Amino acid sequence: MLSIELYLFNKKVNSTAIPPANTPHETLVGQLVGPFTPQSLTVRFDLGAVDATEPKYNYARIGIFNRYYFVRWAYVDGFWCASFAVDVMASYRSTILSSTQYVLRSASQSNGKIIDTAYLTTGDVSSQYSQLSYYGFYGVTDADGMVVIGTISDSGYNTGAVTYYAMTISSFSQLMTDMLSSIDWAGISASEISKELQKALINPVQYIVSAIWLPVSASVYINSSNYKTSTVRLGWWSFNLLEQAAIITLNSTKVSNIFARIPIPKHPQSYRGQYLNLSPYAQYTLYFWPFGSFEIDGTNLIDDSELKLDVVVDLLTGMAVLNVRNQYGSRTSDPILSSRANLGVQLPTGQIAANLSNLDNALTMAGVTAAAPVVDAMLGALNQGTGSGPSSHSSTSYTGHSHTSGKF
Amino acid sequence: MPVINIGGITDAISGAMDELTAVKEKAQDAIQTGTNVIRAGLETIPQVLPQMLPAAAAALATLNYRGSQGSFLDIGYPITLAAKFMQISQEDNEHLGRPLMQPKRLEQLAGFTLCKNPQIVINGSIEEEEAIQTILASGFYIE
Repeated sequence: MLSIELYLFNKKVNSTAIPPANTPHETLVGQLVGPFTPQSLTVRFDLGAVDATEPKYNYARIGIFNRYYFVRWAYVDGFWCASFAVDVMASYRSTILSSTQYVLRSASQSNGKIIDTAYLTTGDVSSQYSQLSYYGFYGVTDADGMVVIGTISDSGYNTGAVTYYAMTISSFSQLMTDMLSSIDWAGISASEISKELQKALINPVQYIVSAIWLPVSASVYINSSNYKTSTVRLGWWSFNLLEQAAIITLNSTKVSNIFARIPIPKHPQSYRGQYLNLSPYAQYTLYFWPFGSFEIDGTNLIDDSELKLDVVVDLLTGMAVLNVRNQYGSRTSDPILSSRANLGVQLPTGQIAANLSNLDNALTMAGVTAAAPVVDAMLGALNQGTGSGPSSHSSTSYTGHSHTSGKF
Repeated sequence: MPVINIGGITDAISGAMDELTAVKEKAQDAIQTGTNVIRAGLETIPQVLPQMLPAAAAALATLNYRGSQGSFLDIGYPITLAAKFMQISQEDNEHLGRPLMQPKRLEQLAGFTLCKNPQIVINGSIEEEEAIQTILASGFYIE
């Protein structure tokens, strides 16, 4: 005779579950039938009055064999007989759970960086964008920013032959107005050379050898400079500025560093694993003009929530270098990508060039045939250093052409 | 198009023809006053030059450029990090789990578990041991 605990207990066949301690059960004594093993046996129960209703119990524990069993019932010769098949997962539960195995997949723990090949892509594509406005990155708009001009002068702060001034747009505009609205600043008496002739001979703009606009805060740079000035030297003249400017020398800061962070969009299903932020599930493109557009490998972004954008601008030339780094990358760490572009906007400057060597042709065509010797004499007088005329009257920068109508 | 900014010479340009006529007359006078044309020319420079040069220079004036036209085009574009994502099929973590790929003591886990090359020693028959290893390698539930 065998004492058996019978349960009504639902479980998966491949589960380690066992009936909890407070699970209702019935202990019955039955008679072993035929040959048996501890793993498989049949027991006949005398349940009293014959009842064709199958007993409700589907699970059992036989203490003498220290095992759990799945139960099937059959009615044989007036008695309910139960067949017991061992549940190995429940019977050896403690041994199984105390073992260490190499686990491929688990519902409770996972490594999100391992690609899950159990699921296929569906072909549905979604897009996300993170954006930084130009103002948000540089802190200036195209209405402000900074103008850097290079001038030929004797300022004493030359870089090579040029003095570089960093100023606001309004200061630059006022400077141009001051230079070209009047010739009085030249300090030449009208009785010596007429105002009209002075304007033809003298053009201070030619001493501006470069002018660029930069998306850099002029006030921040100028306030931090050790070389502030309220005047600009151009050639032999000085012009007062509307606001203070900074002189960029070899000893001063010649670059401007600008950096910001931009959020990294994440795959909408990345709660299932960070691998979804990798190729081919995710594709990242950074658009940062004028540096260009860049494909960024998701491998570089998987652990970060932000991308660090670092721009260094050469204030003298406008050239800039962009370095894109990880969220916690320092300036000494390798960038994810690096690019170079001209960030400065060149501001054109010009000069008036008069071709005196062709003046005789012009006069001849106008009917002044005998003026050629006069012109030669004038040229000779000028070239002998009778005046301090601007270089436009030298022999190297002429682009004159003759015409007959006198109309422009 | 570049803007020609030549200050006061702008006025001289518009009256170039008239001034050329005056230049012609002045030049002819200068030549007629002396036998040495060069000396006469030099002497008349203070008188002739103010009238000649504005018109002549204006007539022959051209504008030379330094620098190229810059572009504010890039300022209009925000800095953008664009991402495209491919969706994957619906998940069934309860019955399929997620990749773990490491040795684990099984009591630290719960739910569906799939093992690779499981090895276990039990106080039972060899058939039971093999049955357990088969179930561990095909997926089971820790409950």
